[in-house]
Amino acid sequence: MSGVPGARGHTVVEHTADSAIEAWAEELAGLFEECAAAMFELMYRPNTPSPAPDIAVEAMGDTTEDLLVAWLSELLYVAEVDDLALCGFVVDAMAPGRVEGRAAGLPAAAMSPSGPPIKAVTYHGLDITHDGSWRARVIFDV
Amino acid sequence: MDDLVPRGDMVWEIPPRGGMRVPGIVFASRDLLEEADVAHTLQQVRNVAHLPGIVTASMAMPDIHWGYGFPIGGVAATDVEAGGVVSPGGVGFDICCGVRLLASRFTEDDFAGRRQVVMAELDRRIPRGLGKGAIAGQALVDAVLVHGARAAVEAGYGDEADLDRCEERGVSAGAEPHRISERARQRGYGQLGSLGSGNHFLEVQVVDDVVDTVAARVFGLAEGMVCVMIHCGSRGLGHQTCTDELKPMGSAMARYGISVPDRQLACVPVRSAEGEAYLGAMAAAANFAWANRHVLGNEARRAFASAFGLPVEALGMDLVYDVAHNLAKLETHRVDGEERLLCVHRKGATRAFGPGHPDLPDDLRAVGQPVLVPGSMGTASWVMRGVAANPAFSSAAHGAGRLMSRHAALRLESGGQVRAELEAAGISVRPGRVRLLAEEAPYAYKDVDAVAEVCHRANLAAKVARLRPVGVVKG
Repeated sequence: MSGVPGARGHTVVEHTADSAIEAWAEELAGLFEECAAAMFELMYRPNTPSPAPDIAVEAMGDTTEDLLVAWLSELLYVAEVDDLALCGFVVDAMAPGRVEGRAAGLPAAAMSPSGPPIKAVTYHGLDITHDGSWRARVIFDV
Repeated sequence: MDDLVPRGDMVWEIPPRGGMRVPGIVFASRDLLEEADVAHTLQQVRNVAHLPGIVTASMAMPDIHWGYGFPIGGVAATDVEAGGVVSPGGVGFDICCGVRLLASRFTEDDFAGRRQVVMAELDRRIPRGLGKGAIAGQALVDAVLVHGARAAVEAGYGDEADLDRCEERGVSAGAEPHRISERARQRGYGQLGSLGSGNHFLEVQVVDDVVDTVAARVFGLAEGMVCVMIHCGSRGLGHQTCTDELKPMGSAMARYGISVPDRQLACVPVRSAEGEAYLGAMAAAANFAWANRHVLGNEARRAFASAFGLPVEALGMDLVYDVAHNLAKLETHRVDGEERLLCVHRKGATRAFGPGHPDLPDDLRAVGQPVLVPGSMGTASWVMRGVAANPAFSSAAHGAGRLMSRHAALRLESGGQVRAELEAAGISVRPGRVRLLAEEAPYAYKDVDAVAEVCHRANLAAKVARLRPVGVVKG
């Protein structure tokens, strides 16, 4: 995986006590999708093909950083209260201060874990840059 | 470590520079410091020193390691009446995460004869890991947010005497449950009486060394005694509450003209509408955590009762103590010769009141508060006691502290290998998911004996007894 413009992807970054990811994409919407995928891959091993993304998720935040934290936090909330492992993320609409999207859900109990459940999305070391393509680094509390 | 100045045995100072309002003070041995991912961790100590109203120093306990915002093991006190701030990052997402210790009258031989049955009962009864499953029902959650562990006792979990052995008697004052969002409640409804995952655990331990026989007797501990230690917090309800509270803090800080080097250190004056709102929400979430550990502790008693064929009342599994290590509390401390009301943040640090403190129950006042310092699941844990003239606002270490990243630990051994090694060492392991054991392997943590030794020598707390695990229940 690399961060060349036009490509998209994500990777895990070492952190002593917690978990961190980096993601990149050409569009901001793609970046949000990649961050979401990375967050859930920290918890679950991807296995079966994603079902149709039919869980609507929306989030609001004043800045791009706030919005990304709110989006990921909302996904964690949905996953926890409905006992789901989420995947197949689609961002349908992005406007300043608001993101709307969808996710697919699989029963968490049936999934193979890749790491402990994430407690929350932190602002520590949160970094979003736009230099041709978008790139983000996010640290999670586990 | 270039800018660390030695200031006595096990004490290091980071002189103030830039926007630091006070120095940093780290209580650690050179070995522990070198293991602490120094560059990141010391930068976090420096960052905390920027908080408005901070007094004396941004401090770090011997188990310090890289956290998010505050270092884990960070202690910071702000002067409430001088514009001092409260920072949700100084508490963390797992509000009122803490440790509870119960001491049974069973010996190691008693346990050995019933080991498989006890572990099977605990395995069956202790909800943990992914997914829903909790001991107490949704109906109790609203009462718990107000009354903490007392609500659990009134619902039949444990008894009145237990509350005397809980920090704050198991209830955080000033709780404002209406500040707990519907989202946070939804997360909490299915989780009251559940361990969670990560480094949370329930362990069966044996007291294998008593250092201070007088304090041990007061705490109800004796060599060879079987104990149960529980480490967990406020679960999703607390995580969501911190997430909710952090969101508006960015704009609130701008209104108060506060800037901090890390957004996770977002803070507002304690004496502000936002500050009071946070403390009210935090206290309600803390009450969930006190009650959560109370319900789990009671379930551990039931497991032992069932395994030994005795009624719970005949077990004598008394509570030694329950301490929080992720909280901000308003406490009075002497600073520059004056009594001042401080907001003491302990992020991965344990309150450690010394002998004579008026907030301790009568039976503990002579020796000081029990301080619980859990180690990794394969090594040991320490019971210490608070001491007079603690130099860190009556705070001490909260555990062994992580040494190795989760992914580095995963690369070394599989969960199955870790389990086999623990079983071979006489430690029964009941994991929720075997794979996740690898991240919590003993070698991923610092040496808890070294952490306890530094606490002892730096006068943060005094050693009382060492406990080694014989059974582990993990998420």
